[in-house]
Amino acid sequence: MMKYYLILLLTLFLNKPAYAALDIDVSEPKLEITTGFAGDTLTIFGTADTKGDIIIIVKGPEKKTTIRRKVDVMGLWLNGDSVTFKNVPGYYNVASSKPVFGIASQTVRENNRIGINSLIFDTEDDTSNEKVGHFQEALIQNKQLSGLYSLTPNTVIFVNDVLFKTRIYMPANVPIGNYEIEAFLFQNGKIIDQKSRPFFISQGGLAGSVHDYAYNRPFWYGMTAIFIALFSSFLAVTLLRRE
Amino acid sequence: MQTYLPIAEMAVQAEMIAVLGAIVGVISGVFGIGGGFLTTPFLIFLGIPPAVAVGTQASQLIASSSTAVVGHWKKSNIDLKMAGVLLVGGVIGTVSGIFIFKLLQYIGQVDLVISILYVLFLCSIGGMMLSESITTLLKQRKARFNTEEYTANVHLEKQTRFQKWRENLPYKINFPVSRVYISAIIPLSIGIIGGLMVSVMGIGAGFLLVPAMIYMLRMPPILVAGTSLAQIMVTSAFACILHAVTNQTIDLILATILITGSVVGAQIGVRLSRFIKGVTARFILASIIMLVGLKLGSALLIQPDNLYNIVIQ
Repeated sequence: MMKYYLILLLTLFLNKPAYAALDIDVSEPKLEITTGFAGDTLTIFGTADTKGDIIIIVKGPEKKTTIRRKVDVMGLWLNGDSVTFKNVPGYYNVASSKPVFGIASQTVRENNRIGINSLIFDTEDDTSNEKVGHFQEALIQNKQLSGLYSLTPNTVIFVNDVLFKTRIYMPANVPIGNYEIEAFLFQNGKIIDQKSRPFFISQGGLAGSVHDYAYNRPFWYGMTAIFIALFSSFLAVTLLRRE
Repeated sequence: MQTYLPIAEMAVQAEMIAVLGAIVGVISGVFGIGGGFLTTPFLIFLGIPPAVAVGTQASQLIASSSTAVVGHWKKSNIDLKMAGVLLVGGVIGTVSGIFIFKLLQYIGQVDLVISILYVLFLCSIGGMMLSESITTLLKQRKARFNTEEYTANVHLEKQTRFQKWRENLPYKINFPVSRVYISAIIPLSIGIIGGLMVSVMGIGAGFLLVPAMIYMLRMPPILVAGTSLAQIMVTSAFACILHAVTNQTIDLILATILITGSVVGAQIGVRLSRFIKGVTARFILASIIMLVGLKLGSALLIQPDNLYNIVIQ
């Protein structure tokens, strides 16, 4: 808070131009997942008035997430140990103009929660740190395998001295909800400016209507399921009946 | 064609689901069974959450049983009073099944329990059918042994002991259509088991209900098929509403693709059934059941590639 206050004060004091050092926008503020959705690419673009390095983070809705490990119990592979984290983003993508370790030191990255390894997941109850670390690592690995967590260095490209853009891939299994896009402008390892803006993913079209119907009118949704079943079997019998 | 399933919240290949539905439809048409035991595990193989697979399967069961029920109804092959008692059990079983399912989700062992139940049911039923069909096939070639008489005797002894126990049970009801006078506890418990299987495993369990009704209720075989199908249809409809209201686990888009495939497949299966003889059919069906059971069983025994699984609440 203090930092923002100081920046504001400095800006006023120095009577800088009205535009900010860093600004970003997104190709579409809202992504709709319809029945034909098979992944989509999002274009994020922005301007930086000084030459520097850009890091853009797209973070999905935080959800309570349980990760379980299978263990061998007398020859059977069962779910054994588990850890529940309270705030796991469903999606996390870091795009940058060059590898993040070349842009900012580890301390700076950790303080600003930049990069997958600086994410801090809180556990529900007191679990030993060693176990938590182990499960967090496995959770991140699994999320990376399913394409939901990714690190894409060198994908933020400067079109000219001020304008930059990047393309972020959203796989077909991307979770719905409220997202946040954060952008950082670095110069010599220091943050010059940062901006964030919200982004939404929701179900639209037929998929959206079905989803809303299921949650808003569950009884009638169940009745519809019964009706569809009865109707299609009736249709098949009448249409395909042997003469 | 990639299709996004709004409840499962994932994209699947629609053709693959339709083909799965069609295969299950053909099998159910040829053998006169529901085929739920094939759909649920395959949906789970495809990565659909178990809860959604089981919930959606309930609506598929309605589709696969309803056509047959209409046929049996026209020939008045349904004992309505018996179906009613079975249904009371079915409702009790469904409600407790959904509660059990939620409990298993909470402790994180849903996939394990479903797998073990499937392995147990499929392997035991597949094994019994396989050995029966193989002995029959062998008998057709070789000279007849006296085994038939022997098994018949063992059977009879078991029957009488069970009969005595059955006669002593209270709350007897008369079922005029089936011409049995029997304690209501027996059909009620059969119904409960049926309801549990619909809501926990997503199967109609006709292969369990039919022999139970023949041997335990001593119903005339001609009434058994129609009555058990009527019970499965109504129990599934009840499970459908319950899944929709309590868990929101029915995916209408998934259900529509599956059902479309299966009703078409069933019509093909019915035509094919003329060309497949009784014993051979039973042998093929038993092999399919065994294979699915063994596949599921091996998944439990072999170390998985990915030891971790993630559940988002």
